[in-house]
Amino acid sequence: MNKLLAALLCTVLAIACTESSSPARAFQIGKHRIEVMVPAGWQALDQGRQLVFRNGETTLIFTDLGAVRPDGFRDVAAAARELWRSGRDDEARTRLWELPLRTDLFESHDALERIREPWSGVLSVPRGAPYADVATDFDRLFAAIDAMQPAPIDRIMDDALPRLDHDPSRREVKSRQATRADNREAMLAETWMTLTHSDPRCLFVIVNAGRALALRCDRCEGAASAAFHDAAVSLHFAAESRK
Amino acid sequence: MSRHLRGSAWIALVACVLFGCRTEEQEQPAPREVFRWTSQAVSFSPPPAGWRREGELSGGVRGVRFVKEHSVGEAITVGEFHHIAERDRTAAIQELIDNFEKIDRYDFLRDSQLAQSRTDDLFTGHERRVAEEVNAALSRSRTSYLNDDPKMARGELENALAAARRFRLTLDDVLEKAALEPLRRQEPQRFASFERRNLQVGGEPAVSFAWSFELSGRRYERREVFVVHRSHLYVARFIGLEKTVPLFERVMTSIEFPQ
Repeated sequence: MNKLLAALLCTVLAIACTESSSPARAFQIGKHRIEVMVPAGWQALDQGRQLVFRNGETTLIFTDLGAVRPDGFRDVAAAARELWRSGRDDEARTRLWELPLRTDLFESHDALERIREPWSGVLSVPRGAPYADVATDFDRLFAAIDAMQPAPIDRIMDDALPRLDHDPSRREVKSRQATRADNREAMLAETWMTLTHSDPRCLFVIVNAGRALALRCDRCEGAASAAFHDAAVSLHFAAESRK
Repeated sequence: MSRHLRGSAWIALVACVLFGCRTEEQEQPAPREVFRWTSQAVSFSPPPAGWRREGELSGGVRGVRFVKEHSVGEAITVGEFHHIAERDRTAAIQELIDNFEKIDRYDFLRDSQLAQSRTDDLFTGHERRVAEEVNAALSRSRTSYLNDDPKMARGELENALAAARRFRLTLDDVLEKAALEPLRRQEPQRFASFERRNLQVGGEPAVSFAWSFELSGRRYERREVFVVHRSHLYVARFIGLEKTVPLFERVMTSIEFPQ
């Protein structure tokens, strides 16, 4: 009888001690609306443009990296145009500065210049200028965005790395792997210290509606690595998000 | 033999069978890893778990130091002399050629300037001739670029690359100045007694220096092994107890130079 009670007690304790992830929770990270499982025992800190899961010294950080493909560029330019049309050219200029005119996101230097030229044209008009003064350059900007080739996922990762504190003089990319999550293009990468091959860092970049969302995990070993991969796998974008 | 001693012997035998009779001298290195500290990769089997990794960035050496945890300061270092590696300009010029279509005028002028060979503190006359050829071709490339002649500019980059590929330094060229002078300065009393041995590491001729010293009543062994591969000078270093020398030897002899 005592043995039976002991076995029962062990079973109850085992069930009670089994870690289970809490159900998926919804968050807004920049422009991305996501649902993701917060690992059991981890704290979720919503910081607006980034979301931090913390467990002691270990953190998982989600960050909205902004537009990376033509549809993302188009959304930024469209928002800027609407602001200008409503007489808020100052805010429109701020939006236009969000356009990432960086070489990794374009197939060639010429493709970048085709967007930079009308973009500069809009930004160079005097403050307070009416929309009519920039309408032509806005049209040219949209035409250039329409002609832009979507950057492949490995170029998007190249562009993301320095923005995720990757210093190529200290760290190297150990591995990278194209993958899909929530039916969207994504890439997993792992970096480590070039000299010692220690201090692994895991990075996950996924493209949603032309914008990149990044997940980063420093000292990505053991429980931290498992939580990172669980979070990447469980990631789900809200229904109205475009792929 | 008393019953107690016989019992201990049996326990030791059973433990040997179950867990293996491994001693520190038989400690096996970990699986091979490829390190890329400069444009030339080097691979070797690092010491096993229990050896903490630290970055080595001193004395002109860039590499990794493995420090044995809970020991008396035992360490194995594998590194590369980066001031010699930087004399090989092929990677910098190749990158310039690869990015020629993408980079703007400012980046081209900056990167082509940074791709130049150094012309001071050279090891050999051959190195001087190569450096002058590389720099002259890069200068002509910049002139062509500024004259809006990208085809000619790119052609001169190819000439600079061809010249840079002729750059060669051997172990004999660099050993005295890069490796032995610092050692002699560190150990002025003992240097003459160092045991010198020629060997092969990674298929290249290498030279090993061995000596020992006493500290706090312990005898420490020191080893420094130098090898040159494609004009890149590498060093494998050891400081520690005699029983750990075999592990260092296994790490050192595992060194290879992947393409």
